[in-house]
Amino acid sequence: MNSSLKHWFNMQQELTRKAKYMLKRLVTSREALLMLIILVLIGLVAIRFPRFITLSNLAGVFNDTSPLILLAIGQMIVILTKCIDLSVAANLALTGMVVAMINVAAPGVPVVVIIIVAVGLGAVMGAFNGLLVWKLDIPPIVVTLGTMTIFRGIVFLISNGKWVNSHEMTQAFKAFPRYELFGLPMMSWTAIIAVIIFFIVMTRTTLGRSFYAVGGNPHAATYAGINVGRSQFWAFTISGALAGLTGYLWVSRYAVAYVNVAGGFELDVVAACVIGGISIAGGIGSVGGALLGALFLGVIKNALPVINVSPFWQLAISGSAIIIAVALNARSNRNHGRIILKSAENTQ
Amino acid sequence: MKFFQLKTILTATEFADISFSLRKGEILGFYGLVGAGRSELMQALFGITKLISGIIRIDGDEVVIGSPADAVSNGIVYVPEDRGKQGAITDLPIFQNITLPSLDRTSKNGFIRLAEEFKLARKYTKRIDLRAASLDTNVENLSGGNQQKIVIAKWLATQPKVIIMDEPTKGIDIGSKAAVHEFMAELADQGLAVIMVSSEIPEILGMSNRVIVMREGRIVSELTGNELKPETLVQYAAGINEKG
Repeated sequence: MNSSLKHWFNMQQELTRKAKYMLKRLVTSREALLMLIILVLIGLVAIRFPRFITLSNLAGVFNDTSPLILLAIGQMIVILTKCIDLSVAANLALTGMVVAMINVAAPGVPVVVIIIVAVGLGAVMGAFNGLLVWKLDIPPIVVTLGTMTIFRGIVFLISNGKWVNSHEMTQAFKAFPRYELFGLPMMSWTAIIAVIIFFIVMTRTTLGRSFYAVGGNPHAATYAGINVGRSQFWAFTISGALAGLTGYLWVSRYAVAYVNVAGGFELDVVAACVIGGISIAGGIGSVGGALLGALFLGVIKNALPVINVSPFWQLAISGSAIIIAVALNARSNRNHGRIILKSAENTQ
Repeated sequence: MKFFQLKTILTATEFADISFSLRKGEILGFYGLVGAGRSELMQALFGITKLISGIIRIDGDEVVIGSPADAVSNGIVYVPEDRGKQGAITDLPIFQNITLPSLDRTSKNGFIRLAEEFKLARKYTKRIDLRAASLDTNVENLSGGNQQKIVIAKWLATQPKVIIMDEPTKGIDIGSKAAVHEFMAELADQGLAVIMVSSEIPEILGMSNRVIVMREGRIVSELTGNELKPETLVQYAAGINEKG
């Protein structure tokens, strides 16, 4: 009797220890923390302005953030391989302008073809970045700073600085991102589908694994038979393809294409990644992190005007969030040591 | 009988006139002073650096090794000296480190099969007697000895024919050192051809069937049997005893 009681007691202890550990792990996981912060943020806004948390408004916020989510996924993969892609917004602007001009010149071209052209053109531009990094060994920040300017320049050259306005575009061209399916516009669905696809790519494919390996330790990846340059090339190509897709969605949703579309947006994209816990040093990050980082910025951008906070505060808050995120990263990297003690093994 | 054969290979700046052969089940030691070009030679065999000329034969067939991937698919693996820099990816969990060079076998059409991965990882961590809480643990949390075991397990999982070990016991604790030695002997018994680069004389004398001494990018001597004495090794390595 006594011994079974003791056994029961031990088991209870074991269970509480496990539960405590799981709770700790859940709370300390970056994604959970970010999720919590976003929920708190939404809650705070709701106190001042209850209509903010209606389903339709939240769906609107998500829809507004979709372009950022799409680009952040691509950027996340690039950063994972120790690179950076500053040309995404310029890529978006160029692809947007090209598809808008195709639409004006040949109104009969179906939207499906337009989307394929946008993704293809974006991918070609991304691949160009990737080739320069892979074959010529130029630092990614220099390559994409250069192509960023080149792409913007090309937008100006092909458009002569003129705008393509709403009345010049066909209805079908403009309708796609707004077309609703199960209450959500296609813009949102595209982001959701991209999240799902790239979640699978990053966790379940050899390509995804190679991105993590290359960023985590390029030497070891080379020794394991992985071509580091080629992996980086694919990361840039994916980032470019997503930027191209977003280019069409952006231009058709706002129904206007001009040289400075999404000017400076590449910095928001990098910010979303950093806030989402993607390590600038490479090797650490997830699709979930990129999604939440983008949503965090999206919520701030949409919520603050509602409660009458000046746009300058928005910038300050986004900036602080970036610094806090990086500081948290550095701290969590410092804190855990090796497991040498036998008693510490179980908590791992 | 000569299972692995190498004929006069050279690179522009690192080494020249290197020829040697290797039998199954043999441990061939490479001794030399630091900077003699041993690691560079091994890296060239593994496809990291480009060779200007040279022929590599495995089992009589001439093979072309242009990249580490070629080497791995031809059954040559390299356990590097600096496991922190070249061996393990410390941000990834144990099982992902072990399956990294074997992803072809644990995936289908580019999709990873997790069950296969865990099966492979479990098989080889068991074989190297790794004591870690779980295969999900990130490698950064392990001790140096255990990290070295992971790197060895990773290469064993590719089912190699020739295993190159560069300073296999540098900087690890005595217990792990003995385990690595025991393990190397076991591999040779199972018919693998082992190349061991080491600067520790007791290790090289204790483990090798044959020792090649290198100096300034060239092979200066090949020693077997009772020629294997500490003085001889050091004399050749330092260039004191020059009779060819």
